[in-house]
Amino acid sequence: MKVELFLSPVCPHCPAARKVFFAVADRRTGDSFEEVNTYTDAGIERGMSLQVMAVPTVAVDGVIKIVGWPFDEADLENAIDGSVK
Amino acid sequence: MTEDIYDVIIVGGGPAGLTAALYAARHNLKTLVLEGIKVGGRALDAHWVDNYPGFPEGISGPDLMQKFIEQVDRFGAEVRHETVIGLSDFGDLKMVSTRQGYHQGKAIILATGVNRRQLSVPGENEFKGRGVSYCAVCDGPFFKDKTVAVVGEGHEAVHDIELLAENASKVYALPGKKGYSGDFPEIPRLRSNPKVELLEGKAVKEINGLGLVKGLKLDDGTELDVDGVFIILERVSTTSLLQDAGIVTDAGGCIMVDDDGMTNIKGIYAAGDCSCRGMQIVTATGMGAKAALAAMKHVKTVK
Repeated sequence: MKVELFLSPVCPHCPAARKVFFAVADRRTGDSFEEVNTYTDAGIERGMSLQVMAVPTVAVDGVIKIVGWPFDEADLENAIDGSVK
Repeated sequence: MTEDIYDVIIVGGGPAGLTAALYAARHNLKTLVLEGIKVGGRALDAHWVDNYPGFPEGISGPDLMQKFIEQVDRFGAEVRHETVIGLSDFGDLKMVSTRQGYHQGKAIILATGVNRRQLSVPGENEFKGRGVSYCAVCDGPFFKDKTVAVVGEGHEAVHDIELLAENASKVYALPGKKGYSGDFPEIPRLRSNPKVELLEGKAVKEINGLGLVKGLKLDDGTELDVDGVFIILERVSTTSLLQDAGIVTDAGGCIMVDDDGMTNIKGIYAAGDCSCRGMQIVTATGMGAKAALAAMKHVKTVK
């Protein structure tokens, strides 16, 4: 699974989201976790291609699963597991 | 519940509240700061602060507030994470109720700031994060070459219109029925900006779309095609609490204070954004200091 966290350096909730994201990433070594900075051209392009419109947002395999804050580790785990086909 | 009597109880841990705490504690007053959300207040949302004196290179809001907190800690003010739910005046003593109990103080400084409020129209919750945003600086980049609306009457809304107009193809400015709340210097620039259309005297009735925001309906029946709606509304925090305590506010909920920062109730002061004066970190700190100095004088009169 590819899990992406869209965030920006100016979003007040993103540091907390990032902490949750990497706590889960540390446990799920079989999945790919990537943070996407939407204050870069590549980041905003990737976000817009998935129709991301807010930060923080979590996408799993290119599908938006969590929008906004708050969410916790269980929410993120559920979002990832819920994407298993 | 505590039976301690504080010299000064400060409600709110933003720039005004922390400065008041610094002044009071440094003068050896028994000082309590009550903050229900996060110490640092709205300044924590500031990505970068370029206009706070003493930091020629600028400083991030969170870093600046961390310095405030360290300085307050140095002088021994007590900070509790408690949400204030009531305030009563018993003459020389005032009582502040929180979800955890109550605290008694000889003087109270209200530094409750302002907080965001929702527009509360159909579609707002449905499209939250799908075109409805409360943070232009965070989410603005997603609306490059798109059409957005900015709903709000305060200075932050005006500022965000200019910010969004840099990348959006069009920005509708919707200050609401009463128009903008101040004579902000950016407004003439907005009027001459070809990307900005000011729609004054109209209120948003509904946000609509399909999965993502597609449009807005206004109260006069106008329909606007928009990709994003930025809701930048503010209000004074704990307004009902103030009203219940008999503290006089203006029509907008701003606490009315005299030159010393004192409210209509002797021994109760207000500082910072909740009195709607300045809405800047530096003005909040100045008011916090002024209120604390006045409170110190008042405390000496209480046995």
